[in-house]
Amino acid sequence: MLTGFARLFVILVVLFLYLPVFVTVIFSFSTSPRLSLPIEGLTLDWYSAALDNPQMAAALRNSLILAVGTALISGVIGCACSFGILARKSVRLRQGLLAFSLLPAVVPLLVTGIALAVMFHAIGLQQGLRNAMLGHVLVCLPFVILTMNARLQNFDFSVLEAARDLGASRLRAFTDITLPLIRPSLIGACLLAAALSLDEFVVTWFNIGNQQTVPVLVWGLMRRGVDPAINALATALFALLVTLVVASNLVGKRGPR
Amino acid sequence: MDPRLKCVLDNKLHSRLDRRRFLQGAAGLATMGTFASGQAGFAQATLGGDLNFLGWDGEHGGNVAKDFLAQNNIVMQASFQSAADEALTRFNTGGRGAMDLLTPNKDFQKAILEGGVELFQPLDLSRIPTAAGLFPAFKDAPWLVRDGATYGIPIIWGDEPCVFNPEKWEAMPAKYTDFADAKFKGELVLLDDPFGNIWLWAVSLGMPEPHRLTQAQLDEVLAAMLAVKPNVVAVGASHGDMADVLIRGDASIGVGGWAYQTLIARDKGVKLVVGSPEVDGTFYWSDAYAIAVDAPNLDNAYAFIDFMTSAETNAALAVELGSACTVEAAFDLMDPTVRDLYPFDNVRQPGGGILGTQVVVPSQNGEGDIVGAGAWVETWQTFKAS
Amino acid sequence: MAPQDQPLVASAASLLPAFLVYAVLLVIPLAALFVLGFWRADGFTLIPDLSLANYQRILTSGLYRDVLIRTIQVGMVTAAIVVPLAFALSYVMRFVLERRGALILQLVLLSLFSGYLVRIYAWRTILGKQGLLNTTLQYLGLIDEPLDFLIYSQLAVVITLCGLLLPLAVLPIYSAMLNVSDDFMEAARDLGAGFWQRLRTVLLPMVLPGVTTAFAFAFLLSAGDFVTPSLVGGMQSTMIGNIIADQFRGIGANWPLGAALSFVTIGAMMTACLAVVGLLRGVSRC
Repeated sequence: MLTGFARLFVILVVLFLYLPVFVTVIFSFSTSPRLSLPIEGLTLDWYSAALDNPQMAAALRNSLILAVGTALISGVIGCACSFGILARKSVRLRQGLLAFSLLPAVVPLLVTGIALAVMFHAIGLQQGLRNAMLGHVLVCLPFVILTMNARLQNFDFSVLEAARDLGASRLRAFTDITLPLIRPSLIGACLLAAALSLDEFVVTWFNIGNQQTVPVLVWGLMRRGVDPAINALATALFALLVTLVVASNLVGKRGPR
Repeated sequence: MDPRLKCVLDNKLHSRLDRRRFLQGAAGLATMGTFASGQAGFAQATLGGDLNFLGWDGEHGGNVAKDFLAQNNIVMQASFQSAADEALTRFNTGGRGAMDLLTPNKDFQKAILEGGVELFQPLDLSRIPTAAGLFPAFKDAPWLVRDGATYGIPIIWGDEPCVFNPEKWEAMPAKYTDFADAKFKGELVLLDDPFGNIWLWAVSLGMPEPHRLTQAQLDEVLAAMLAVKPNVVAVGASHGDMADVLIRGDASIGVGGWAYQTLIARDKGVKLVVGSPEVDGTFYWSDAYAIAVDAPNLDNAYAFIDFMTSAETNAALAVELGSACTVEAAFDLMDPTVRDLYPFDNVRQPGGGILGTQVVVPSQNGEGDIVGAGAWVETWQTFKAS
Repeated sequence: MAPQDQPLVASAASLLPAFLVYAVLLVIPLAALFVLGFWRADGFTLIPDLSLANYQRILTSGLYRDVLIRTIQVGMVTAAIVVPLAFALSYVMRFVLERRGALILQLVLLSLFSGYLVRIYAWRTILGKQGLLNTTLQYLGLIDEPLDFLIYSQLAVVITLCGLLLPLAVLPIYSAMLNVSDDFMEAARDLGAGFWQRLRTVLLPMVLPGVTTAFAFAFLLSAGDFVTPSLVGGMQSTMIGNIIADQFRGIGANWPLGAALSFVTIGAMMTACLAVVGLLRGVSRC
């Protein structure tokens, strides 16, 4: 009974989350150029329109590079940082460090974007994908650090001691015990970073120079209206990323346990 | 994370990074010879490499200049703005030296030139022979000239009429202040533009110099706009966003619209028409091509502007963007359904015509009782927030 | 709760990369911005000064106060809806679905990959006057006239933000729940603790870091988002982010004022966020 109720709840929440996704996907195949009802027929025209557009193709590529790069870099740096914070003995220091690590999430994005652009200019780094990537890492770090912190506080480190009592090196203890245990959270945090990177367009706009990402392009195209080619672009990106995540899950499953 | 997963992702990342396009290209840096008269642009040998564009979507000539760019090996690196004045922010935050082509609108360019702000470089008109074909109003137009040098080549122009659903409304009321009538409840969408909106309501209130207002006048405008606010559904982030609200039927009148919105709607099977309040009218705008200070690809920029100002291209772009052409010979080449939306009589006289005399954006600095642009922005913010 | 035996990467060195990023990319530019907040703008020129005029103007202006309050309100309301939902979802994933929970977590997170702007437009399609919801309700005969408060309203903003932030809030709470063993929960049940009592006295203190983190994510991201409100929020949608953005644009810009406004905003948001986090800590302790 309770289980049935719980399942229903999960289904409803997932439906709520995916409702806009369904709408986006459906209208990317709809013959009607309006993003509203009714749907008269199905077509792949919006996909060919999106992929024929060299800017959309470039934007898609840049978005993928930024999402994957940001996920990896902020995943590693952020995870390391949360271990480092956790190891501080003083509770006050830990809480202070955590609050400080939130800072990039508190600063208005536009301010971050401009401040970064001015900073990069001052140290002579040309605008481009690299600068945008650094910006994304900065913006995503708080989310990785705090997510990992939520996982690691109250973490039962006695299993590590047990492993080391059995003669495992620190490295072995980390890769064989800690890592598998924190993996769902770490992968989740990386996915989060990828998603935030994918949606970011304010910091990106100021730092990417003459390049485009999907949201930067979509925001610019909006002056001339929103057409289903944008839905096709979003759906293509969604499909690519889901494939990437599912594939990496499979690779992970086949790996050594 | 699983080492193999990490490895796969790492490889993906690095292969992509290696292929990162920093097309330095073999940019032709030799000076260009003078263009032959008429259809120049195609035959020149020294072009090629990047052309960095920061401006409005469409004005980068994505469709009309496709062949020209390909034939000259020019790679258009276009990035689009979402507000008219974003180019200045980009320029001042490290964009300088990496920006070539900009598309400022009339009042923005005027404000920059008057303010003595560094952004645009003076143009060498001998490198843009097609500019000789511009309508008289656009040659040496007052908003493009400073100290005898010209800083922009107009590319399209138009007005900001009301755009409305003819099934719901036969015509617009005589004045913008009339929109306060309760019959417009839930029907209006505005554009997120402090200057255009305040200017329109200042005109509606009969203020003699609607771009030069005192704080008391601004407060009066605010009160008049707040009377309309209950009828407003949304403020569109851009003209396209505003069109989206109208096309979905979430509102039926767009104030401060763009005739192009009727074309967007037509493509989506929705009929919208333009028509401004008869007594108040509306204001005119014009976008120009300008070249940024320290532009790295000057030759490409000049060649592109020259190509875009040829009659055929200018007509094609104007039709694509549902706007009026700036080149006299392009008038005859335009589709009448678009051409007839605009009063061309205004641009056949030298001196800028109504575009030259009408100023919408206030100056950046106040002057005596007259407040500067900052106060306008704050008034608009107060309108939206209260 | 710091471990006695530190795991491999727990040395101070592991803090270094992250804090290098923070120092170079954030703290130094912010310091420059802080100084700029005491300057003044004369037209397009910035004039070095040491004046509190910008702060004075902000603190005495009804506009900035009202917008800041609204921004914090939107953040609080959204977080107040998102965090309990995320807690319930995490609970079900962790203790009811158990192994399949991790799969649901990925499903929930993957919904974020559908693209932010496109998703906002999808909500217009769903909630609009002639949108999916209104059409369906009219078809079913439940309403005669379309409901017009669904879109271009605070409701639309909260719905859209919830869809965006729920996955972000679920992740830390679920992660924290992974630390609570089944045995532990069962032991509490065996001792006769009721469901709510177990939740409140056993589970909540254990997962508190996750809950406070989820709150911080939901609050900060919704209060910091100024695009969602401007696209679906209608006429009550100006957020402090919009106002700050205007100060850094071309005409009418005032960088020093924008800088000062940024610091007032950072201070207000941080205070609001840490106050609630402190409150949550206090509640879970007593």
